[in-house]
Amino acid sequence: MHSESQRAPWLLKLATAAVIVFLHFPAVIIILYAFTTDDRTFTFPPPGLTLQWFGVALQRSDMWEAFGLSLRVAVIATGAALILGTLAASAVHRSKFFGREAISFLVILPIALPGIVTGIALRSAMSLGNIPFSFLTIIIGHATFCVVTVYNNVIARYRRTGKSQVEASMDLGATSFQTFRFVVLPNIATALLAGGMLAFALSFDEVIVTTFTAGQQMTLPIWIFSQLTRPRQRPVTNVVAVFVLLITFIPIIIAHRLTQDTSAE
Amino acid sequence: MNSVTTAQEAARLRKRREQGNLMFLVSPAAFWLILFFLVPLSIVLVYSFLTRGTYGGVLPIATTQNYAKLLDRDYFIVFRRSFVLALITTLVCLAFSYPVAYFISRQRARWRGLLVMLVIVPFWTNFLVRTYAWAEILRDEGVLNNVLLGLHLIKDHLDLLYTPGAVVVGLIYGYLPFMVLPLYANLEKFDHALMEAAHDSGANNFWAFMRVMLPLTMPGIVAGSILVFIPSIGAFITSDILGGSKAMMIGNLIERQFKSARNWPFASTISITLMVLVSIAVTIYFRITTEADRA
Repeated sequence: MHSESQRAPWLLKLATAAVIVFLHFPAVIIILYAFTTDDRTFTFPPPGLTLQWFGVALQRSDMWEAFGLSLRVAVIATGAALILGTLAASAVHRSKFFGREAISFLVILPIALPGIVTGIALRSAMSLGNIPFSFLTIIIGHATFCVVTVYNNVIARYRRTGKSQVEASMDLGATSFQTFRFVVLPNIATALLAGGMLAFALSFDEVIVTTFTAGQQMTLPIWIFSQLTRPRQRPVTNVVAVFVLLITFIPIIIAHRLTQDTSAE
Repeated sequence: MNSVTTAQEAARLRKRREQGNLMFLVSPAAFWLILFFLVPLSIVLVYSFLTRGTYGGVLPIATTQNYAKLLDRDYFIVFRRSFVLALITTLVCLAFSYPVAYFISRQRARWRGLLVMLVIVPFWTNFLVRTYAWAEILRDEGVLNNVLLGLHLIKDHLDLLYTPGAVVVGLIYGYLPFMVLPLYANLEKFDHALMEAAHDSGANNFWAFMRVMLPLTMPGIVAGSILVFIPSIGAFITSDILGGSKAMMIGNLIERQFKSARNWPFASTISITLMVLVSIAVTIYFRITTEADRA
């Protein structure tokens, strides 16, 4: 902050480095202890390194089941979020209508409210309506808080591109569908992809709401959560954790690239 | 003349068609969010005023007793703890994020992108896994204790895990990016010539910062603080994994009342209270960001 003194930039550099290390070092620990030969404690440095836990993890059928469920839920919830988010963003951007502010507020609220509140709300509604736990109840919970990532990305893109192209297309007699397909969609394609990737990551990582809507079913994060109370074979949990980190890390990097590219234009 | 009428006609047609489209566009999301979000929340609101059944159900007998119960010492402590821990988290995040955001904003474009990504990526990767990592670091047989023992800096294990301190570390770690990003967005737009102007007019670093930079970055500070405070006060996973029963927060209290105690009305009451606290913060945030948009 104090640009004139010589030492200040070094302090700033140090603070930044410290914060970035702080943000990344726990993930490094997770990765390191996926390879340790020690299955109960976390001796530092690890007494030895091994790949055996990867083999053990791969043979855990309960893990695979949880993974499969997480993947299916994330894909469908993302699909729902893409449709709902894009439509809502188009409406809010296009005109000032009654309830416009309410819609943007409603879209953001599910992610702003603590997951535990959303969780018990859904669980209470299910109980009241006699709706049994199912694959569908998990998806409903997820899509609700995934809409916001798509909505935000699409609306940010709309703000940059403006309304003139759409107006021109409509004035020239194109139908709404034609306008959407040939004018709007190409413009927002990368925003959709970025929003979709983030929605996927959000769904794939969710724990709290899911514990209230899943019943006995286990998504991968819930599987990990259930493993935390068991002290045996800790490295197996780490192996799965590394796997989960990778699965969400890749879409995030892609989403980041997509939004970076367009802002650099 | 003729072309003007056609243009007006086209505009009118466009408007009418858009009105029809609007309903089609808003309805699905509105329908979904009302049915699967607002209706369930309303049920919670209603339950918060009802009576608990003998075997856990909800009896349709109206009462305000659930709200009166919030003042009981046991529950009040949990609320106070949540508020204090969230406040500490917010202040520490602010203290660390400001210099970091400032530093990033002063770098060349290439570096800026990379540094911002380094801040964003952990925030988007699995929260549960990252919190669990802290449990591995802080537990009695964990990384930190073993390193300190190995270096002979301590004689015996330190009780680090299951303390309010562990929860604060986890919260700071989890929500720090929420503070860095709005501050960075604010500082990136900041005109540094203003600081030079302040210096030229005789202000030292401290006063130039206080009178020029701080007021101009206030929207970022407020936005960041609220974005950190909201998830911190409503935390569940962090306090569950790192705090245990010794550092229970509102979120954990709700879960216990709902699942173990099977007292749905009281769990609803706590939820509504938490929601009110969060909504106040969200409303402030909304005001500030929309004002910033208009400016």
